[in-house]
Amino acid sequence: MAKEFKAVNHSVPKIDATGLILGSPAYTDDLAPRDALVVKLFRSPHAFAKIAAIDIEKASAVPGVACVLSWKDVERIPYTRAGQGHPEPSPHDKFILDEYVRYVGDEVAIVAAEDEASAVKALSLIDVKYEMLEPVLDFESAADNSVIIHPEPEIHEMFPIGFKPKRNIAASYDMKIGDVEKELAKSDVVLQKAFYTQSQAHVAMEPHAAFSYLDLHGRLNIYSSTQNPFHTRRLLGQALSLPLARIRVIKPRVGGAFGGKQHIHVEPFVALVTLKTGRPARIALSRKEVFEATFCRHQMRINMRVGADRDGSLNVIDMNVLSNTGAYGEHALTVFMVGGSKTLPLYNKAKAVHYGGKVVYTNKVSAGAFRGYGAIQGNFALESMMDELAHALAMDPIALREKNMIREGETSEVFHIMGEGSEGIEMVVESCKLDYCVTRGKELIGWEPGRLAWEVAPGRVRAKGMAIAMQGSGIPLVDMGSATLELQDGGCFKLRIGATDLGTGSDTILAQIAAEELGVPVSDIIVYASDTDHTPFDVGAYASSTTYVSGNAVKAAAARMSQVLREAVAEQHHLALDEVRFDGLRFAKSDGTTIVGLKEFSFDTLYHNGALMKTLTATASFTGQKSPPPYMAGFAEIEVDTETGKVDMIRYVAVVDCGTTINPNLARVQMEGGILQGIGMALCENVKYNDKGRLLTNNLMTYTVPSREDTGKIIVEFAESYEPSGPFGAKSVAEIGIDTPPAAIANAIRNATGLRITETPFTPERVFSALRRKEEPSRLPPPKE
Amino acid sequence: MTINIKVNGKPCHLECNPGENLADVLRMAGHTEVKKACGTGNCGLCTVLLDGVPVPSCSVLVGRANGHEVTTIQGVEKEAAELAGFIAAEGAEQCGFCSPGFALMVLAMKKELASPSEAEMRHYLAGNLCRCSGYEGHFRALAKYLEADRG
Amino acid sequence: MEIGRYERPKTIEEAYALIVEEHGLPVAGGAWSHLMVKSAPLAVDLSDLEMRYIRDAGDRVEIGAMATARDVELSLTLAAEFGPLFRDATSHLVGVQLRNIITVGGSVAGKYGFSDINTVLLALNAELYFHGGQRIDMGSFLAAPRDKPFLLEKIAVRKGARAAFQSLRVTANDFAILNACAAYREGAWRIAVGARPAAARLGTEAARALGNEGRPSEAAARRAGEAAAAELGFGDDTRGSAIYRRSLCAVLVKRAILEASK
Repeated sequence: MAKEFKAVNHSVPKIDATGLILGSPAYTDDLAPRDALVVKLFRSPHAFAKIAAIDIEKASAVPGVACVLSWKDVERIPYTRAGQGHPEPSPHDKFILDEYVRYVGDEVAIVAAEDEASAVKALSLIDVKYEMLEPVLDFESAADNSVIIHPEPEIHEMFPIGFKPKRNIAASYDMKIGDVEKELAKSDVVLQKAFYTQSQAHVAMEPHAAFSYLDLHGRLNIYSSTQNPFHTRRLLGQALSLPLARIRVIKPRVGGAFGGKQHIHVEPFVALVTLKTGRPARIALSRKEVFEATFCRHQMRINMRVGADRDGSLNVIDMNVLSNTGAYGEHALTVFMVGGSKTLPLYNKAKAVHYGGKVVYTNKVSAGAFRGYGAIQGNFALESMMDELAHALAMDPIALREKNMIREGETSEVFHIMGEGSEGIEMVVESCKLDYCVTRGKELIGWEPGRLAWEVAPGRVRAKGMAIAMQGSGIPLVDMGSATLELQDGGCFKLRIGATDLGTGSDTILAQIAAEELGVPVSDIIVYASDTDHTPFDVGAYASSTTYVSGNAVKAAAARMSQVLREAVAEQHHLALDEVRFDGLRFAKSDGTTIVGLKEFSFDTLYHNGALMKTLTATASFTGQKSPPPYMAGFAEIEVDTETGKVDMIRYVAVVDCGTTINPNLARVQMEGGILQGIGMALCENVKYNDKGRLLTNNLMTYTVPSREDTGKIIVEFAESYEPSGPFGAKSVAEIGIDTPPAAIANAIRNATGLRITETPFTPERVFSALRRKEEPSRLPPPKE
Repeated sequence: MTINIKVNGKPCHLECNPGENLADVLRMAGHTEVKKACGTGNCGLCTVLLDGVPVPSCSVLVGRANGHEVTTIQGVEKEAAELAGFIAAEGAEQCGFCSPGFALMVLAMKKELASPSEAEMRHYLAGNLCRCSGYEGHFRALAKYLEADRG
Repeated sequence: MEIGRYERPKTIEEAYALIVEEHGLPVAGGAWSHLMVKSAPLAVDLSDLEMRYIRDAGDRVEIGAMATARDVELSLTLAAEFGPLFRDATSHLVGVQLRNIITVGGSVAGKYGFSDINTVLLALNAELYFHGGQRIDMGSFLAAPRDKPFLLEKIAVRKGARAAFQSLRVTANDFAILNACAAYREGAWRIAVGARPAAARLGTEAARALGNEGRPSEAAARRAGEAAAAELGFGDDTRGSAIYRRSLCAVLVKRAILEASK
């Protein structure tokens, strides 16, 4: 299992690192043409209203304004902005511009002008009369509310997802294994609790941006800060009624995404302007617009019940989930399902399981994809509950988990029941080092079951808490990635991939995989990615798919390339194929005599071989037959100031099984970054709206992300693991880091104070209020015999 | 109004509205290494040196810079490239959007603080946010960079 | 921000005329004006007026209105007189870059609720010097309604006080949910509480409860904290509720008193 690799499992520096650090113009807004029209959006100040009248005459007359567009100027086509495969599991409930506005910030009109000042001037002259409607702002009373957020007759689901817009329901789902009530009745201990998670904001440092132009073939070219260029092309083609042959989408460098750019965002606006005026058009959102008018995490309420026996056997997990998808239903069903599909299999021995509920519309910021994608919310509820169970059973929380958690070689019924939007795939877990992760993490944090909390000074308590997690590696039989390799003169290779580097370093690790398979240096792989005209298909960067799915495609393409090379050499040198060996440097016979060097042959095949000259390429595609989960154990050490409720991070230990780390440094930094985002969700990223539905936490003064001084020490280690179906044994590492901090920290707070905090974030005020209330966990006594 | 500033040692004459901020003006003049990420002075990505002092250029009115010297990361390219090597070697640069402002701030920190502890570095650099890396990799890189610098 | 005309006068008299006679908007660091002011027909940049200093002036320390938060944070003069007080009240805010442009004068003149330094200046009974000869104490200035245009020249803080600053914030460099400063000088305490979220005010009952005891017991400090919480007003905002701020006030005031007593 511990293999010696030449390129893979090496911390190769990112191929774009130095250029980006020195500030090379590489991001969408840096590359926009100088003469592009500046596009600005007129946004609704109301949470729910009908546009009774809109006057754009004065705005259009402003000198320098090229066009002003309202809903009357746009073909009315319902579509979804969700960056997902076709048919999309998200409802087609969005129009580029509509007669209704459904949240504060919803787009009302598009202005394009020669410069920013003229555009801003025009915005101020747009006159809109609204017919005010009563907004639905509380997700707990959204379903079957008398106010219907989406009354439009044209909207629809692509296949049954439980879409009932007249009830304000975007999607619903229900699954069960065994008999929950029966098993609860038989259990020695039954616990019940409701958990709430907030609509966290991604806060990628680069605001959403796009620009478009018509090239000399009259085709629409769009540069966008996107996670999914191919889905963007398809969805735009649909929304703009354009054949896909007329559209090209390119992703340049992206300044972070985390799911926030796994959607159509501002592309339709620049595209419309370019199509209307023939001119290039650009837009870059302000931070306020990113908060108010892009996407956020699905807010959830999870009603949990668990039942267990006195010996610690977990019998029942029952999760009833209410998810808030905001004004539009992007990723509604799939995020909902991942809340169960990427948590429940952790405890695969439970006799009865239920996961179900609904996703509702509200007149708030539209929720969408965000790292963890339901798993972090589900994990918070489930892993908090496991600790409650441990307390009720007077068991060490780790011992309870070790008794019930999944192990290598096992399976879970949940795998085949829950896919992404539909049924899943049966899977035996071939790599699972969760047991090692727990044991090693215990060592690193210094876990002593009898001493999980202690006073360090009057009123200051230190405590430890933990949680385990899993995620996935792509969506089996849905996510597909491809790669093409082509030999260049000089003996290097073009690697064309659709895979989408968001700063994660996928360009680099995919080059490493190609290099490893071919046996050539990484520096001999020239990467070009994420351009729908020039790179083969890939779903894009989401669902932790790039390393596993795109990586397997690259490995297969490289293997095929080796074969293609050998075939060409055999042909040229009149040898049988099996007489030709290739070691990355040269082609040789089985007795070791050199036939020709790679570099030399690269010239031969392009210049010297006469009738046999040819370009040597290999293409491969891959889709997973399964989604092998990465696993991890997270351990938080905190300090609570019991007089103020402030919780400080002291240390966070994470031991991770992601199979082979293609690039250990990059895997480590992905983990550390994910953990800190999880800590942010747990401790400080509070979301607040006013009673009219306006987002109050809409800039970095009011929405607080963790700074360098809030991290405590983050310690990440990787387990020795090898996933046979993964490229060189790799699984994914992109999302799992974010999943454990909310539960681990809540469990530590429980150990510190005796209090179970059930709502994120655990702000000082929330902890303080709990300390003052001294809440007890609600407990259902088992029925008497 | 007409603004005369020296940017990275080169004289720069610009016609601007008085209400514009230095970050926008620099970007319009082609300095795309100055990033705009928050507009409220919180994130540090727009950091430039104004007469050698680090400031959030999004919060500085362009008239303030008139007659003064501005340095962006490209004005200290040689030192920045050296630092960049250490950051890249740790994998600590992810999306790279925060990197130019961060690198410039590290170089400013070197001038202001002699042999800072990690806690002192975290405090000095607190105004430079990063959402990708979790910050730890930055400090692994800085520890090696400062040691190499001393040695 | 929309500005019609931008002036950077070289003398205080010039600046004063532009502000008073032509209704110019004084721009100190500019950090807050660009967020809070949508448009100004005339902006008056004060950076060339030589008001950036922190100097020992015998029985007091004088802080020029254009001294930056970073100047205050690093000032050896202030540290020599007041220990870590001024560093504690400035070093949290956002980052070095922002503190390089925020000015003491700007924070004072804006009467910003979120300001940490205003709370300290109030507790130390700072005296504000305006161009034209007017002088007013910090407390009266903060409580007074916005009046005629003015040009703040310097802030004077008398020596001989020992004081401590306390605050709580959600992240290390966020604005404070609440802040407090307790100062003891010549037998009397002054307790100031700010970021309520409104601007700083004195807890006079709290100070009275302590009497002239220079090193109160933990119990006395706690009682004073509770008195401050009872007498002052608090509000809700995105950082916290009024109820929480009230509870927090008692704790922070107690801690400030005990720290100032060391």
